[in-house]
Amino acid sequence: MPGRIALTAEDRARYEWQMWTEGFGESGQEKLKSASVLISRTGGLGSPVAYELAAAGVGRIIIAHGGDVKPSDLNRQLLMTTDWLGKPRAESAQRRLLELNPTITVEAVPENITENNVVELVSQADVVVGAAPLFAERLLMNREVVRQQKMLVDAAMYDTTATATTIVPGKTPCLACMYPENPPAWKRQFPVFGATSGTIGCIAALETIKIITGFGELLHGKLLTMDLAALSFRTLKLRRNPDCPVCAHLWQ
Amino acid sequence: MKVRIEYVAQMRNAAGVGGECFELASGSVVRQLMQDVADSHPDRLAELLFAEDGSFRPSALLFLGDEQVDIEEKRPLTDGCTVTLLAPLAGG
Repeated sequence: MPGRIALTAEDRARYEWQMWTEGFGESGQEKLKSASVLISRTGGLGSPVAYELAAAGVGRIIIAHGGDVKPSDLNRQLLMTTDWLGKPRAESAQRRLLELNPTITVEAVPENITENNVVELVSQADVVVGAAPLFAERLLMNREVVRQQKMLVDAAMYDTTATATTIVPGKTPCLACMYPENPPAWKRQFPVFGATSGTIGCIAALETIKIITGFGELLHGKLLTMDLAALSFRTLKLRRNPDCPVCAHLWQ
Repeated sequence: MKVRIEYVAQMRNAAGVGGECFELASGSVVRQLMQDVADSHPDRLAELLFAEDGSFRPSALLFLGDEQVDIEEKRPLTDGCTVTLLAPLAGG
């Protein structure tokens, strides 16, 4: 994790209420101000992650999201607005984040994560949040995060179910330990309320804040599962794959 | 003995129920339970569990109680235990 950048009087006024959190304080705020977080897509899940991290004062947020705003984005992608239909999603997200908090830096990358950009984007971040709707992108991000030994918060949803886990290369199972292949059950289009992706997005944002500042319990080696229709919450223990093609070498 | 299985997300949609109980012989292991589940739901759910060559799909995640287990888990299931079946999610 990065060092600490001293707070200004404006920072203290803005973040006063969260600095009252036990175990966080002014030192936690300084750590957030010094941190860089990469968010892979700011859709229904990534939007609230980015919004909460911007509100909390993460110093530099990099958002990678390709394409233009479509009407079907607007039921859940809270950083996209009706007046931005047909214009780049990354620009809409950047504009909204800076409206909320102009004291931080927001870098808008109008591309999704690919083999061409993943090395450079991950290298710029202290923590990565995976919120892409395709397993290929998530597995690519996982591979690069393990290679660069960065921490990854992976959060996902389907219908009214959502999951989250935190990956620390060599210390927790990675995504390829969990599922070494593209799951055949997955379809590109999925049922989603913004409130479902927003709920898990807020959990992913808080997990990121805890990683950066070192307070609270983390989802290390654990998969949080939530069924929001039944209001059922579980924390499951994940198994490392000793033959994982991505991370097994780190365990020797 | 009676074993409870919970289906999560797409597994629940494929099974058509959120959970159900299976009657198994004492000493049965997870693989036998999965075979019974596939036999009981031969269409969509069976396809999510087993590939055409009969191998168990690594993307079908199994949890015995709250702990992830492999399809080759040797510990016998116990009367009243719960197995959770989850397909990974990627929605955002």
